[in-house]
Amino acid sequence: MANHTHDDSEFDAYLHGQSPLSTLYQQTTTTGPATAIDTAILAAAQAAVKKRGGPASPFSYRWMVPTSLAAVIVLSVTVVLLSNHEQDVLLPLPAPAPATAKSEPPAEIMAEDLRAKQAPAGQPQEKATRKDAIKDADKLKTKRAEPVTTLQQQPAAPASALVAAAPESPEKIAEKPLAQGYATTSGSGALEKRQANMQEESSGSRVTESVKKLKMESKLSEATNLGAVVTKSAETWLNEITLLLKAGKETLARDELKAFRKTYASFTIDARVYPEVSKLNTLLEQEKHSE
Amino acid sequence: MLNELTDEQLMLRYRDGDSRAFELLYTRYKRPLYRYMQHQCGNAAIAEELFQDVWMNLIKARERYEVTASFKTFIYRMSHNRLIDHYRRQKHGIPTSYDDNEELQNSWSFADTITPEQTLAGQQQLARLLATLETLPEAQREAFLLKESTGLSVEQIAEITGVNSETAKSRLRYATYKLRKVLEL
Repeated sequence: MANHTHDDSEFDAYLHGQSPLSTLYQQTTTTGPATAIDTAILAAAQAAVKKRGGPASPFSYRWMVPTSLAAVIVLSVTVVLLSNHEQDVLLPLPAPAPATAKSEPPAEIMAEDLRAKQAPAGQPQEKATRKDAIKDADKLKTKRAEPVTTLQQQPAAPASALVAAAPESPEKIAEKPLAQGYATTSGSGALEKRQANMQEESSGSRVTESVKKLKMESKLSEATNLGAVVTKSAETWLNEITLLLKAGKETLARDELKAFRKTYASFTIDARVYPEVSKLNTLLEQEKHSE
Repeated sequence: MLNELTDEQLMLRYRDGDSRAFELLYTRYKRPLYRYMQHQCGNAAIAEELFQDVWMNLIKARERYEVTASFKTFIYRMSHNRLIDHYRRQKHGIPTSYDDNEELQNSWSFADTITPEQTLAGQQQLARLLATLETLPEAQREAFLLKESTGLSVEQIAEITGVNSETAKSRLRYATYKLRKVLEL
């Protein structure tokens, strides 16, 4: 029993580092590992670090996955927000143009304005929905992009009336005068002539409605970059001739009608809709026959 | 600058790519770890092989290193595992002394294991100590070496060797008792 207690006290002393056994063991000398082993281990440690591409902050490892996820989320949200914003910018609601505004309105608004004027009665512009605005804008964009040949498929104008000209380079188009955008089978000279005549007749007096419209369309043509040859619709043209006749500008109206006839040779002028123009047309036909 | 850092800080720096931190860590641990291996194996060639393996494993595992325990415990735990793996591959497998059988622990007899020639040859106390150490059961020897080579506490020895504190204390008690008896201390 006493022996056991003695062992316990000795073991406790050993645990506290107060034992001759510990002192003796600490006197043992052992050589370290061979130098070759040292070199191999240190080289392996360096190679492992270099293989990974040099020192990196602990942040890069610990936060690699969360950072990647956060970046993906932020990018996705940004793209969605930007695409929504772009839609809003591309499809603005038609805003009323200020009366004193000197700058020209953008092509989209002009095209919309023109279409609204040409729309049949009972469909006022105020009632034009956002959908219509989208459609008009899309049509206008398509017109810009399409080559001339696609215009031949439009039912409003006869195929023979259109020029199947190859698309021209933007530089060449830019050099052209504005009115050339109304190229017809008779060439652009007719339109220039008409504009010149109209300007002559209206000089010193107030600008007529038809001239205003022509200018508007010229602007539209310019705005659409003249990427394709635009032909005025028969109805618009006849309305203009009617206005000229009502204004007493018979000479100008005759020239316009002749040009119209060349463009729309097969178009039948309804006497109930355009009585003045129909009369003038009959007169011109008679003169042609008599010649 | 680096000398002032703790083992754990050095290991973290090495994990993050500072190879100088590893060099310092290696300098601090190579001798005690090698001595532990050498005395535990009793064979210089095997000790060198195991020692190298431990450091290579540490290099491989550096990216996963987190400070969950002291670095000392971490590296000696790796060393212990490597030793057990070495024993497992031997013909006799893992030594029975690791079974924590009280009878097995008591069954050791100096007279049975140390030949008279060895005793006569090793007149000096140190030589006798090392010779006796080799005759101890592996688990007891390991407990003693971990205590003496590294200054680890009983709890840390238990943690490294994967046993409870009582078992670790018991192994250490038997080891010291036998050594003192042979060395007449």
